[in-house]
Amino acid sequence: MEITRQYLAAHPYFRALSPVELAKIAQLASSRTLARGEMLALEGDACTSVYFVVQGRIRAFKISPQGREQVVSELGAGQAFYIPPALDGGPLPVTTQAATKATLISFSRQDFLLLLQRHPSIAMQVLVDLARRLRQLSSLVEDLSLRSVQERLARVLLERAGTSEGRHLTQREMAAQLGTVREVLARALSQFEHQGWIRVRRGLIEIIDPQALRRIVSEEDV
Amino acid sequence: MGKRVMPEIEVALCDLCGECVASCPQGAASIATSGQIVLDEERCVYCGDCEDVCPAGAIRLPFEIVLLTSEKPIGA
Repeated sequence: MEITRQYLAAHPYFRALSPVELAKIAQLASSRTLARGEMLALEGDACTSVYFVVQGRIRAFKISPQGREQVVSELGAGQAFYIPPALDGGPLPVTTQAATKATLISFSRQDFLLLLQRHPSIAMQVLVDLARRLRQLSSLVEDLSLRSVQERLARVLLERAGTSEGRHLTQREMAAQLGTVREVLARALSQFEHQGWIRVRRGLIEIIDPQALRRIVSEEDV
Repeated sequence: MGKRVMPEIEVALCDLCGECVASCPQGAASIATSGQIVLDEERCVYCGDCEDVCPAGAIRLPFEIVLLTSEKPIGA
């Protein structure tokens, strides 16, 4: 309970509340720990809860018509999910599963909606968060409609090659910049390597054929 | 030849849960008596499994991107 209250006190949605209000809200919350690989909820099911990630990562994915998993995103500490279906009453848009051992806090859908009605500060922060996500998604849709992952990867590799920025990118960070996930990025890097355009070594991505990467980028600019 | 590139562990974030130790396919990760995660340079193949499974985000496997030719990158 104390961990829940501390988490809520630090979370942007609940930060403006008084300690008394936080204590009452913490009593509505449930805490749960998932083992790595454990399923949480299924795409298409009715929304019964809103979740907040305390620690660990949650994979959100959809099943394609061919039955393949398509990872949509990974959620980390501080992020909330299943808010849109909680608001509009629609089915869950994605299946969620623990990518690592993960600790979650949840509110029932009814309790979450009541919190929004009773505490305008929570509702406003949720709106701000949804607006931010909408802006990011709009920008991504615009980018996706123009470029594939391969094209975006080629551009990132060419732009970053030889730069002296202090912090090198991990594959996860690169994937996030491209609006995708690590598995998809790894496949794209593998494709580039198979083509002989790059070589991936320990901690190093060497661009062997920058002209090939420029052709990918410039084809999309036509 | 320089020192082998190794995953970076942020000690302040690491809570010694041991998930990286359990997941490492090469058995390169272990918890030392000093109470820190240590990685065996000879065994580590930089696969990224430890970065994937760490719930605290304490492990990073960074990549440097370099051009092998003398051509200038975009924007240079």
